[in-house]
Amino acid sequence: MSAALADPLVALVGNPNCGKTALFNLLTGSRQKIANYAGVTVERKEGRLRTRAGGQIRVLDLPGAYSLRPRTPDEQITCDFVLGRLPDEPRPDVVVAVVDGTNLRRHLRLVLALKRLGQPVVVALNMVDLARRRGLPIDAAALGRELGLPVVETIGIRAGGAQALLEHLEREHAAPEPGSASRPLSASRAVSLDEAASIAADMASVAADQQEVERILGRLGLDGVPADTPSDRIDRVVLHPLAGPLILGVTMFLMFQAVFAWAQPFMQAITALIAALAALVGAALPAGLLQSLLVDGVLAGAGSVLVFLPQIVLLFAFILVLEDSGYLPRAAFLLDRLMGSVGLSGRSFIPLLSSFACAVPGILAARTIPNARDRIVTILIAPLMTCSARLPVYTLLIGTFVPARTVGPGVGLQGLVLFALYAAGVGGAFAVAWLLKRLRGANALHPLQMELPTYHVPSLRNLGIGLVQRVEVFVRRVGTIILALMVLLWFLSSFPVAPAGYPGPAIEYSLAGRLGSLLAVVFAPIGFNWQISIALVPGMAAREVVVGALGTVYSLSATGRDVAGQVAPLIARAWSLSTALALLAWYVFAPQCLSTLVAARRETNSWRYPALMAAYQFALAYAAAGLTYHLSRWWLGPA
Amino acid sequence: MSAWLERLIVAAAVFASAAYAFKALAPFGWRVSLARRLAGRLPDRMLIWLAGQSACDACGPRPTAGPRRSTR
Repeated sequence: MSAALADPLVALVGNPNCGKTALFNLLTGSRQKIANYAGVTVERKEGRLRTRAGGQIRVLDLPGAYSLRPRTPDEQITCDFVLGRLPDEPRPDVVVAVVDGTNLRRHLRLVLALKRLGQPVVVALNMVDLARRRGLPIDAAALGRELGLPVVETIGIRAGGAQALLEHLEREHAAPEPGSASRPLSASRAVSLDEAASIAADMASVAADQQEVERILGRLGLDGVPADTPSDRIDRVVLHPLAGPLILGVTMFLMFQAVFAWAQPFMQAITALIAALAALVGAALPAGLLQSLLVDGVLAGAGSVLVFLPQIVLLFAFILVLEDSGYLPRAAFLLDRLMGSVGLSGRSFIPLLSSFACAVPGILAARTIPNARDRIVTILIAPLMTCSARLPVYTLLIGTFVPARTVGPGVGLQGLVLFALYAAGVGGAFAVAWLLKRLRGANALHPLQMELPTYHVPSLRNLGIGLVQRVEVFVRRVGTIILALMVLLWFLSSFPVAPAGYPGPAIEYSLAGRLGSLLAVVFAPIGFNWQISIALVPGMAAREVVVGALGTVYSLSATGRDVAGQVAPLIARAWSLSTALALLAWYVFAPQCLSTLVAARRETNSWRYPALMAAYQFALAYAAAGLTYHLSRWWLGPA
Repeated sequence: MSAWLERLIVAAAVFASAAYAFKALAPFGWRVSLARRLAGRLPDRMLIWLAGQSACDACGPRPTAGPRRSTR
């Protein structure tokens, strides 16, 4: 056994949204995503805790589980791990049962179930600050006596909030048990695997656990009805049948307005910087291959994608604030009736919302849906949510073709169009879900049961970490895969070199030009020229690559030397408004990137669903773009 | 800058980009298959980079040997 596997193993287990990942980040220094709603963690995460004595402890963050009888795939991961059912994983040496101090009635049931397994359990009494602010007389020592387990207080969202837990684990790690010098955190007291399985399946124990929890709460004076909290008062407005949907709609609308309006100065600054760089390179290098690679390939390609960084940051800032505040589960509650009408449950809301960032985590988040049919439908429609990679495409086209004027007090037309495109994606997803419901037959009603967390003022630290991570992801993509694809596209667009006296731009003679001409046969009926057709191909790797690909293709197509990184004026001259609208419609439903297909294959364990996903989205995108192109030509004229 | 040096730099950039794009986008099985074909002709480190460390983990506890066919 390797030294790494010989290190003691500590597993963080608890109900969803009790703060396991926040504690995990504090213990290990990791920066895993945390948010104020259930179901954020759907996979096990591993980190290392270095003790002051120099030892190491492996720490596992597991998806939330309400009991040891799993109902969803993410709960299954936790239960299998705790019960030792995973072939290559040892059972944990210590289970840290994380409980939410503001809701002990529900959280202690899992603690009692874990205790019966016979493994060492330490209870991390989390959110004690919040519980005390609500006037709950929580006494960790008394709770420990009643449970017969060590209890330590923690505050997962505060630096140093896991100090007591850290010290407890270090003490356990440092004090060897008799006969177990090498692994003091030993699971030697644990029951056998068969016994553990029968304990987990014992239904009679559930009622006994509930009685025991009531007894403990009664002894500690925590069995009273909680007073009306600020969250309850906010919910009376936010969840109101009329005011609630209105607030949700206005919030989303303002978000897209702000994304468009506030980002402009920063985008102009980046555009100017890239143009200056291109001018610098153009002046420093003689005209030739290398200059063309740097100006037309790197700066016109990757640079034109980087311009959209401010909008990505703003969009995620809004989403992170909504996540951290606890508002998102309320939105799921508000949309449950609407989602039920198309055959989805409110539980699909969080995976679909995650897909606004990227469809891959959205598809993974579908593990929190207990019903298999609902899960498959959610996975199939997740790519229709507008992921952040589509934002650069939308912004480029809207900024170029939609006039920047207001259509009402504080309402910009460009922001309104962006909002409409996002709404079209959601509408398309609901329509597909409804169709799947009709085709696959009615499904039994699955009432939504979702925990509504307490509202928090968003933590600046979490917001900062989340934004830095998103910036890192975006810049890394631009600097790696997008840059690599742009260099390849430049190569394909530059070779073979056109012979002297070739009429027209040299790119038409290149491999990319010829491939584009072939593809244009397919795409010409929906208004796409060969330059757009060729840009769609690398767009399968990552959607924002289309912007860079257009930058490279048009930069090489240009007869004069246009400034690199400014693709907008080039397409403004080359496209009709109908073509631009058709491309926008295409990208509302566009076939997803390869990563999404691979994620769908992994989550459904079949190529059938990814194939269905790719086929229906291509058909939908083609039909929508064609319809938009011909209707707009009929309405606006061919110009 | 001489013309041959310019061509060399451009060729290196294109080759590196193609290798990176293949590594980033090609399915795991394709990468392992290519790494096996190139075994012995490229340094182990490059093969591991191409196929990923998990290819070695799946085949046995000799990551420095590069990806190879499992004997199990």
